[in-house]
Amino acid sequence: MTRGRRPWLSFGPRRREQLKPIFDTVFHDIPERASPGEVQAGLRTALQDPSLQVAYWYEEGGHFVDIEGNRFDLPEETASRAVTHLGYADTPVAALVHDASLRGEPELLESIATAARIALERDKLLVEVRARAERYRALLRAMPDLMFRISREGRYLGYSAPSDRDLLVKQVEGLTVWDRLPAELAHRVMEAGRAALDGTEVSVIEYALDFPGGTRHYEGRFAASGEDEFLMIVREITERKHQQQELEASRARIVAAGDEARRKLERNLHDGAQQRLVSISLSLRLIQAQLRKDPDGAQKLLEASRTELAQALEELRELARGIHPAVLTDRGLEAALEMLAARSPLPIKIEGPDGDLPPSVEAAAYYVVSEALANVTKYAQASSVEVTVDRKNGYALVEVADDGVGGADPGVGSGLRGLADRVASLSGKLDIDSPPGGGTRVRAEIPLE
Amino acid sequence: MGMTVLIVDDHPSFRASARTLLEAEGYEIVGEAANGAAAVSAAEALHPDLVLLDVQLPDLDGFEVAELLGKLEDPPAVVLTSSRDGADYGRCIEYCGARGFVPKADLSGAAITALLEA
Repeated sequence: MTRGRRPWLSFGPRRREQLKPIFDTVFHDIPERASPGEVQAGLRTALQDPSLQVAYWYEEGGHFVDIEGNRFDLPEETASRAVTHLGYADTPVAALVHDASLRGEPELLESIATAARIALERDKLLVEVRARAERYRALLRAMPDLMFRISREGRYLGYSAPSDRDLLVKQVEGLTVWDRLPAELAHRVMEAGRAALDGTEVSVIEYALDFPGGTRHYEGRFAASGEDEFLMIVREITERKHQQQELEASRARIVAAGDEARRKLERNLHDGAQQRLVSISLSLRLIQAQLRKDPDGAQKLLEASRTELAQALEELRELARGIHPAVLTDRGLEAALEMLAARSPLPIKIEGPDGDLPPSVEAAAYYVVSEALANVTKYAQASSVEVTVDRKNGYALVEVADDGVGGADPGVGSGLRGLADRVASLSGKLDIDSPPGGGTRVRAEIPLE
Repeated sequence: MGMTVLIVDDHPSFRASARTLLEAEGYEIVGEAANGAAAVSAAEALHPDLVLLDVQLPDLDGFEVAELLGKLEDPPAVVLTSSRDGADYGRCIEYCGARGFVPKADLSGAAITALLEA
């Protein structure tokens, strides 16, 4: 209690006349150097009640708080405990919870109340600040985000972390952003933090950090939290980033697939029909030259040219079908599926949709079935295939199931990948279930709206 | 004796048609090649007066082959051909050292003679 300085209170018999000057001296000294705990300790000694507690009125919260700023509910008065309210000019300041025996000495309590006024009023303010701080701390603890308080100079003043999972360096306090973060990120953090300090807008940055388990992506928001400090609120956005990257990759694949299809088409036209037409053109020139002097030779060349022309036409028809199946446009999905079935070497059972589907959905369904059937023919060693197109709960469900060897890997081959992208571009999804030995089931769900 | 010609094209049907057509107009076909590398070897061995050279080949393209042919000791005249239009190739034709371009569909001895005499 002495801790090298003079004891606050030390008196013998309690007589009001004697006590008052002492209290006056004591409590007028306190504001300059005592903490709320010391006031409570002083009162305990003065009133010879070691269990005495001081509770301060916390106006903002509408309740009492203890010296730590925590909520304090005044106990019911009992035979052994009593509560004395202290207020000045009708303003509640504090309450003393003390031994009931002091009830018999109202003058003493009054004297203390008077003497302790300045100390208690000052303490009330301090405790209110603590209570407010505690409230903010509770708020911060309840938030799921990682949060840092950083000074204008880049030093960490405090932080709140739901877990240390996202802390690149576990130690925070006492360090600067340059101690904990890669230089480039530290620079960006300070730039955004100072912008928040100097302006009124919340600034946002996105960044990635490399952890042992892989790279994680974060979004940092910056807001001023004082004259010379700002808050950096961090949220992990790895999943969102991955979805975004997958979307971008999917778009890039769709564009690449389109380019590749056009290249292939040009090559097929050039190598196929165009060569045949060139050849026919040269033959006609020869026929023209030979017509009079070698009519038999010209006749043979004409025959060959007709064959060449028939082949060129067939190749053009095949190419046109590959670009877009005319039957799908003219006769709808069911007819187009029947055409696919007729061209397949396997027996195919088709169950078509009731009524028309939107054109883009029909096209996607057609290509899902077409690609799946091509795969069945090439790899599945199946004996039969069932194709079902149905509509359910606002979705078109397209399913191609075979009884083949299974074991298809959707990650291999551009065909299924391209299909998945096509279906995803309509906000649908493609699932492939292909257990080894258990057949393959390709299933697309495409929203109708 | 007519002008000696090496025909370079990866499509056998075109090589056959071009041979028949040019022979009918007095050209002497001394060889055929199906790709760029074979074309350069054949030109070195056969010393043709003219190489009728397709632009799209499976290994080198016709422009590269024309440049290689131009570096031979006794370089042949080169006429490029394609089923595409000459305009599709911009100024590549004049830059590669070829004497000219004739679309495949318009191929004839007269068209080649016209290019060589120009």
